[in-house]
Amino acid sequence: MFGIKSKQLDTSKYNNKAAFLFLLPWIIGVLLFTIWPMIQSLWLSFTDYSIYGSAKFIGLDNYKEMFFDDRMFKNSLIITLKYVIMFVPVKMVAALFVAILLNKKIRGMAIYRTIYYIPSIIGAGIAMAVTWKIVLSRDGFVNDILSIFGIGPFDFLTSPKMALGTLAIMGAWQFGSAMVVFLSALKQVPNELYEAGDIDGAGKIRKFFKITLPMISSNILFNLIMGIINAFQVFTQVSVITNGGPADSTYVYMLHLYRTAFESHRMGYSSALAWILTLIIFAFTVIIFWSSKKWVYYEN
Amino acid sequence: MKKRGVALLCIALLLISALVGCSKANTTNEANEGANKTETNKSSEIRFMWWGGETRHKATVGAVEIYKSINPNVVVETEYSGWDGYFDKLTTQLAANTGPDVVQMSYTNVAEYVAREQLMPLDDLIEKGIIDISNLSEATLDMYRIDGKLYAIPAGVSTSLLFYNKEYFDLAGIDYPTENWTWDDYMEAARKLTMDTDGDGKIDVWGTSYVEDPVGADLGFKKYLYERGGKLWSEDLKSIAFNTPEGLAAVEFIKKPLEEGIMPPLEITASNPQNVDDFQTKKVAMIINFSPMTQTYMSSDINFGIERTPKGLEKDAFWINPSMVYSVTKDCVNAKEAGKLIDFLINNEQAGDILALERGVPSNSVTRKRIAESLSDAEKLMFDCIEKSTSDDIVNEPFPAGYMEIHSLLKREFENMMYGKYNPQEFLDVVEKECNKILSKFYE
Repeated sequence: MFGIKSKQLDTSKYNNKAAFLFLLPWIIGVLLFTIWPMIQSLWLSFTDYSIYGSAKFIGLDNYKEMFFDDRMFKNSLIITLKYVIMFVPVKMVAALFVAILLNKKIRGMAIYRTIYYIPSIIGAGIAMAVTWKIVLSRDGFVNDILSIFGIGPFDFLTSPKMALGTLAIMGAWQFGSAMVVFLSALKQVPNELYEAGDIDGAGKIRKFFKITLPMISSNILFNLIMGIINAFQVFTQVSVITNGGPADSTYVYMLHLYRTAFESHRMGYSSALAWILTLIIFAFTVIIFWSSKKWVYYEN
Repeated sequence: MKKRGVALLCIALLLISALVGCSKANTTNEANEGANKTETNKSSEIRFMWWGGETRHKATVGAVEIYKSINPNVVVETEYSGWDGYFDKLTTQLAANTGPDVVQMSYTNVAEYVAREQLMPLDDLIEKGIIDISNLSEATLDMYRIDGKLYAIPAGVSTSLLFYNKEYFDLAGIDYPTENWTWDDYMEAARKLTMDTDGDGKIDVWGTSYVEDPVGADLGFKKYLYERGGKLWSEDLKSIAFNTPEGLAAVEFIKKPLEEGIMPPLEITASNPQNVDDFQTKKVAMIINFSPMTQTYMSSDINFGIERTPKGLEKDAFWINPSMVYSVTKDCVNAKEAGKLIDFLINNEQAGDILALERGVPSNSVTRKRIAESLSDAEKLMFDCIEKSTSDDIVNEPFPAGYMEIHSLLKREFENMMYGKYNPQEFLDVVEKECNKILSKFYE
């Protein structure tokens, strides 16, 4: 009896050690390439560091400048909020809609699933952003098609009124990972619930709102938070396609941060900008988590 | 069994990585030894960095090869790339004290790098006769004298010119521009050249264009300001000097073609591919642009002519800017060798022939005269126009430290103004406040 017990204990200790050893490269990676730079950037945000020379401690001056003397800080924050408000719902609805379609039992479903996931694999790159720019230009493919119906041409990316919305929809095109999460959630909704709904005479729409949505609400929460985090940090597409223009209409927060750091070489100030963005994202996450008590349904 | 297989695989992977690690360590050791060996004659090793397109790379590498064949004991390493990211790379290298020795700088950002103590003054090298500046124009050199010391040697010069599409002039039935044109003539022609060429009731060719990139103080604005007697900066460079009636008149003059509808709507210009302007897409009949654009337009199928920019209404004013300059960085160990390379690039006959117009019209007046013989018709026209321009009143102002940031600010706010977010006076007020904030970081 004792022998067996002690042996069990030993293996669990051994397993812990082994697990730790296997995790070590990642732990070192996180400490060295995420945590340490974060601590450094926090320190830099209180200095006037400019790449050249050493950093001088200037207290809260960077933060003061941001709130009282940097109009682009306020402008870019408002533009980013607008982007988040457009991007997140579009992406969520698209992901859920396609997930529902892909949840049907049709032949060759694996192929469709792959096809809908492809944009998420290739979508984030520079090449894709450039392609979008060409497709949506005035003489581009989209305007060519619209002209058949006698509409347009639209200046999707070059009119200050449309550019931000176009970028948001373009970003939502990569709904693949959110879709996969929804799809797996949909598969786990017990069939009995729908059968019960049928017996009670619920229609398709009613079943969707009363059964499907509550049952996948925890996944909606997950996708919502991930979507908001991603949307606040939008950069690549904006930088490549519109570079903040036309007339500053797509001058998002990350672009402001990037230009401060790499055009003006104000590393201290841009670190402060980065930390404020972190706080904003954190605040949004907390608010959503807090509100989720009211609308997320956990089965147990 | 399965478990053992996995374990074996893991061990194998670990061993392989260890082996790879070892071999890497070996090579770095070898590299270190190699570096130690060359340490003894490192003094004659210099690194030269520039940006450009394919043809400039080829010409410059060719010139460096000639230099090496003349000076066999000197090792010249070349490091070249496109414009994008060039200064990010340079900044990073300089911050890490691993900058190149000789570096091609933009004509606008020398003061900024001097303010950050990254460049070396060249007066010593000139006094010792290593760099010969006797064939360069004093006016352009003066732009790079900061506190009495010279920090850059211009490689070429450029100015703004009027390019016009002959086809559209013929179609509209008006005479080509002449050197006696005034801005009134220019606007009059632009109105006539705004036309519907395919008869669908929509205008598809416009008279003039808004030049997207150098919209700030680099090009149009600066000239219009000088013509009205204005200036960009205060004498001490601490603040801007164009929030004045002259500045307002200059800005309104640039906006006028848009208001009159004789230039393409901004949405159309913005939808051009990157680095392609309305003149290349044949949407406009005339454009005022940098002289080096001649080569770009030559490589297209546009039948175009070149003329000097129209005469100012009140007075004539021209600027001649260096197109690019050479500097020596603070990381340079052997300034003498760096200076010799710059002198070769500027003054050597063979170098002049092979570099030709790759960095604008050569700054060396002797080289300029010599290669003028072998130019194509369009290039000759450009030469003539620059000669015509230089014979008039030249106004040159230095570019203050922080200019790169000011340039990008001006460009952005200019666009906002053109899109109607501000009126010209509001634009000047916004720009004055922001520019002075940037300048105050460098000039206390």
